[in-house]
Amino acid sequence: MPPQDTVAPPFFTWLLGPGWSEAGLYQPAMLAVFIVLLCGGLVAGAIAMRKGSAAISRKTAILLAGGILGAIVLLGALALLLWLFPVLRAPLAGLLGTGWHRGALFQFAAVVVCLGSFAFAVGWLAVAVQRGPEEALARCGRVVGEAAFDLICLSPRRVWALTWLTVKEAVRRRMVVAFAVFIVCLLFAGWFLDPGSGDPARLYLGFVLTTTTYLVLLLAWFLSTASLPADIKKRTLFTVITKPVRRSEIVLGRMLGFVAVGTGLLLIMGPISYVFVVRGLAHTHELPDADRETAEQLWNLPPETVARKGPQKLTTDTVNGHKHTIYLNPLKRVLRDGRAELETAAEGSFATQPEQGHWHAFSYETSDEEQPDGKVMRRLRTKLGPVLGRPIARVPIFGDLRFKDREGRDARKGISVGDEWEYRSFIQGGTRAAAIWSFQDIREEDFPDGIRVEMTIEIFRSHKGDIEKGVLGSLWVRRPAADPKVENWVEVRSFEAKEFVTDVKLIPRDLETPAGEQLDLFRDIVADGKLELRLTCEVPNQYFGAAPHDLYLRTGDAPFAWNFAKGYLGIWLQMVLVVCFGVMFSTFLSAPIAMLATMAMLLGGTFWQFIKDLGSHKVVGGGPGESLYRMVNQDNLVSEMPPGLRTTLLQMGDVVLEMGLRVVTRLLPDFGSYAFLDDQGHACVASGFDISTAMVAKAVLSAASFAIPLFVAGYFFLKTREVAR
Amino acid sequence: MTPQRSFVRKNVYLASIVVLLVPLYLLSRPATPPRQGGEGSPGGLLARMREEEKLSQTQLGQIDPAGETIRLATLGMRGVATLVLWEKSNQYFKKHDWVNFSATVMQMTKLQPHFVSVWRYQGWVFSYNCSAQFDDYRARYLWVMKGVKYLQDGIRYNEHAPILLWDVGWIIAHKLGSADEVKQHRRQFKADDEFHGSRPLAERDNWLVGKQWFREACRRVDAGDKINKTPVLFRCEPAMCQMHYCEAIEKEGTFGEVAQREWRNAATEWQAFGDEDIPTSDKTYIRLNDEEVYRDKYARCLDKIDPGGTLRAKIEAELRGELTEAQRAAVDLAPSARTTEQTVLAAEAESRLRYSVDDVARRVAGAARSEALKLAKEAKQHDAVINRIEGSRQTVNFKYWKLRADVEQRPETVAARQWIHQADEAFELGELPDAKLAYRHGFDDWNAVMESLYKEDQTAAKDPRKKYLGRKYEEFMESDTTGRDLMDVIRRYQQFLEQCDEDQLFAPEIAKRPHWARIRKLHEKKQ
Repeated sequence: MPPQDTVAPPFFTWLLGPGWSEAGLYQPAMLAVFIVLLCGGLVAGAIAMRKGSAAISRKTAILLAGGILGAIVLLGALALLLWLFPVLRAPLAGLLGTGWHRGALFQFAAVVVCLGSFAFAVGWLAVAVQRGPEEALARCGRVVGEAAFDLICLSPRRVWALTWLTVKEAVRRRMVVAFAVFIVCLLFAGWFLDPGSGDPARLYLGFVLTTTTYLVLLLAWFLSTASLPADIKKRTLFTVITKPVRRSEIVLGRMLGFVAVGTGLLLIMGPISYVFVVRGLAHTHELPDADRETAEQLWNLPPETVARKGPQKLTTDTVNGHKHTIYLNPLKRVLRDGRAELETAAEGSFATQPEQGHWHAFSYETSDEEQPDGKVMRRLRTKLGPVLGRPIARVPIFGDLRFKDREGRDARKGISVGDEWEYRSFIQGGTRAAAIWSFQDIREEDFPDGIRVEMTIEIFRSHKGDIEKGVLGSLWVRRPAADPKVENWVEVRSFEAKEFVTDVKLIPRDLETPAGEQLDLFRDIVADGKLELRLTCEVPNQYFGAAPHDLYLRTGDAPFAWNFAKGYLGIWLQMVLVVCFGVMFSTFLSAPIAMLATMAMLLGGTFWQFIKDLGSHKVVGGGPGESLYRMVNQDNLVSEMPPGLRTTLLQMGDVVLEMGLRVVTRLLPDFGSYAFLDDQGHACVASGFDISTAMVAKAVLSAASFAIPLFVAGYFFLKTREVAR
Repeated sequence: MTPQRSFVRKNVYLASIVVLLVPLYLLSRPATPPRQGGEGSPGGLLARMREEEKLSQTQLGQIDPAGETIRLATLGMRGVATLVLWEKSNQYFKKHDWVNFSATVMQMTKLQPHFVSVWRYQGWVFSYNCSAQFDDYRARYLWVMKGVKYLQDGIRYNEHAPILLWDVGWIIAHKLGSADEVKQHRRQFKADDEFHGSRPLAERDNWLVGKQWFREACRRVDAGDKINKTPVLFRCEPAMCQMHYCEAIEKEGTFGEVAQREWRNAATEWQAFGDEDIPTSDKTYIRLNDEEVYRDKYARCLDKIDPGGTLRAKIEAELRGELTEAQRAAVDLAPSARTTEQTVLAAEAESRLRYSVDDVARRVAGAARSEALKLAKEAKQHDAVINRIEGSRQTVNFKYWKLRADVEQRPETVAARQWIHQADEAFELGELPDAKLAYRHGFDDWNAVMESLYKEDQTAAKDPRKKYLGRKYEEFMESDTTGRDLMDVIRRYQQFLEQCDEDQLFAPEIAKRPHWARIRKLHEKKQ
């Protein structure tokens, strides 16, 4: 049964489609030839154009336009044939891989071709109506030809000059106000951020990322939309246009200028935010005197007595609304005369119990002190170190999740226990129900001591049971079997489940089956980097709830500072998009309208997921028309609409509107993906997860796929605009 | 417009502004505090009104610079910001994102610190709704106390909102004391040094601490603060906490002199509650202990109108003559002996047999008639008070708790409970002979308690003026709460005998103790 809840696809699968690894074109030799030819052709063409003349003859223009129209017709026919006759996709599948049409690259190409074709066709038709088809071809061809020259023959020197001009203008517009507001927010943030909350790192990081995002995006919005229209209105743009400057250079100069301003701001805000977070979370504890004296007694007792008492439980003082527990065992085994003996250690160090996601190093040392009565007392000095474990950047390996029902059959998902949020589904305890994760790309060198599993499952009790005891669960592992009916699970851990905390379990390398067989985790269980892990609940009529990302394998930690920088890269990408949209809109709209349009894009991108859900009819309460009806009539979201013509018309209208919304989501960027959110909508940086290179690459490519067409569109709009009126 | 006209117009405007400044000053002059060597001033009309109605921020409670800052930062869109935060908090709750949920709720109350309902609602959400989401009882306790601390913060900003104190008392007393995890929570509460500070261990009972908070709330209302709650329900809580405290310590195995003393305290506090002046909806005051006094007054008025009761007997005979045979037969039967149809007939008959004191007074002839009518009016006033008191008593089950405190403080009752507690413990540990002996002692002691109540009733019944004092025995036996309690004991004993393969002894054991047999008869079918 294929997994229903899959994790995000790997980078190349996302880019080129699911079957790319079997595609003929992507085999190393073919790929090398293709890349060489493509790059060579592009470079040769660019050089030829830069050396050639920008003037295009009428004949050339007609040929060019005719060729483009012909290509549009051919591509359209091909797309229609492929759509009508899926069997025709097979030859392409051999070259490009099965499911090539699902790859982001091809979807991008399809959108660009569609939009470009549409724009070209509309332009040709508009001119053809007035001046005839041949003249229309000539004009369109000339525009396309000149555009090619303008876009390829950019002068870096002129672009740099315009960029610098834009930067100076932004500084003159007092963009430092944004920086001042940021500092004020940070200064007063301590009043609002509670370091005693359950996860202060998430609060602090969420705060700095959100504040930075809002400030930088608002600044980018304001600067990028107001600049060009103001120049056009004040006619200061004439001084630029009258110079030998291409329109593409003007647009690119503006975009790069505003991006540079935003980048400068981020480069200042980033380190300040980092210091703010680290300092805000920094604290240490002390051991109260009473606890220290209690612990001190251990060194003044015989080791056998200390061994019988067991570890001493100590508690630190309360700082930031929490305290840590320390289990102190001062004994160590030493060999004396060939015998193992117990003695108390003079010094030592270990970790406190974790609290609020972090812990501290606890170190102690003893010294002898002579008493007035001649006895020698051991004195204890203790020290607690700084925060460890937070902030953090975990590097997880997520798996695909599937379920088994209570009879052990494959199930689409688990049971619903009536929770409003259906993110998790549940497995019943004491039955054959299970949640199974399938992992790939597991490398032995990443797990030298065993596989560290971290999970945050939920518990649902259908009866109270024993309140003092937690609900028991088990973890099992096995090698992924070709035959799914083969059940060769090996139980590795039994545990009492914990809720709303990250529960850490180590699967050791050495395992033993119930039959007494000794197994090595990597030699005998993990195969080709694949592993299956099963979670079961052992208590009848109690339930465990799980979602795909609730359990993962933790390979290690990435540097937090680098992860923080990647988070800021996401903000930078969002800023670039806002600038590109703002400049593009400002090339043909007045300032207020450009601001409105850019803000609409910004809001659409921020609520992209919601718009997508609305367009896919996943939102409770129906589509736009039905929702409006419900709002006006004050109906609730789930009551049935009254049957009749009105309801039918509303719902038909909603089908059309939802189609429009789906188109809109294709055209808008999803800002959530640039914010590197996890599956629950929290920033990965704030949740303590590493932003993988694949995520960064996807975000950068995705942003570029918007930025380049926006630049081209902005060029065309500015070129066709009548600047002087 | 000519320059001269413009000049004149400007002067008129200027003069109007100066003139309007005078009433503006009188209205909005701020109050000034007294300075050294001088007196302050109460300020203009608005400042004086704010002072009288206790509306100024300084009078409401502490001023929080963070809250003021965030309100300024919303640039007048505090309502929009609050709406967004409410929506976000609902989403965070739905997604079990407790970190962000708490942070959002804190931000909400910073925006509107004097909106008491928000504090109450979210305090409840923390203590009841959030805590219920956690599986671990330790985490549940932390969230219950988080709600308490949240409400305590709210009290600092709203010093004249005693309902917040009441809510703190409710959560500490009832949430910790009535939850499924009551045993664990009471233990955790005792050990919570951070919450209690220097409070002695003996006083760290959730019911006793809750009682203190309820008392403080009552004290603030007595001092003039307003509360939008039914007065009798508001004021009964301190005494109720004492009652529940007594129940709790007995459940945990504390008996003897300690239990007796605490039940005596409960009786004293309930008596004191009965002596409090409770405001009613028609702007009068009543005391719950005064029902008997007013009944006595009513009886005296009636006796004065109709000495000997001849007029009343005559009226009753006339009304009885109007009943049908069936109704007469039904009303003559004891309530427990009536069939369903007869119960309905009896109810109809009783409603037709009712007559007012005016009916009696109107039958008085001659010169005494006007005096009789005056007495009838006075009797009706007493009757109105009796009805109000009765209504409030029913709201808090006043008579039951009064009787309960009276019965529970008796040595034989404490002993009975102790025996049953020991029997249950022995049963759980499998010590069957000890359990059997303890059950038998417990049953005997309970029977003795019921017997003593029966005898007290017999004595009281001999005084016709005191028959309205209630029938302690009947009330005790017929009370659903007592019935449930004692039926639990019966059922556990029955299970015990089944365990010992001696279930044939159950019926004779019960038959030997007639009051137990009656309890079973009255309550077995109800459960």
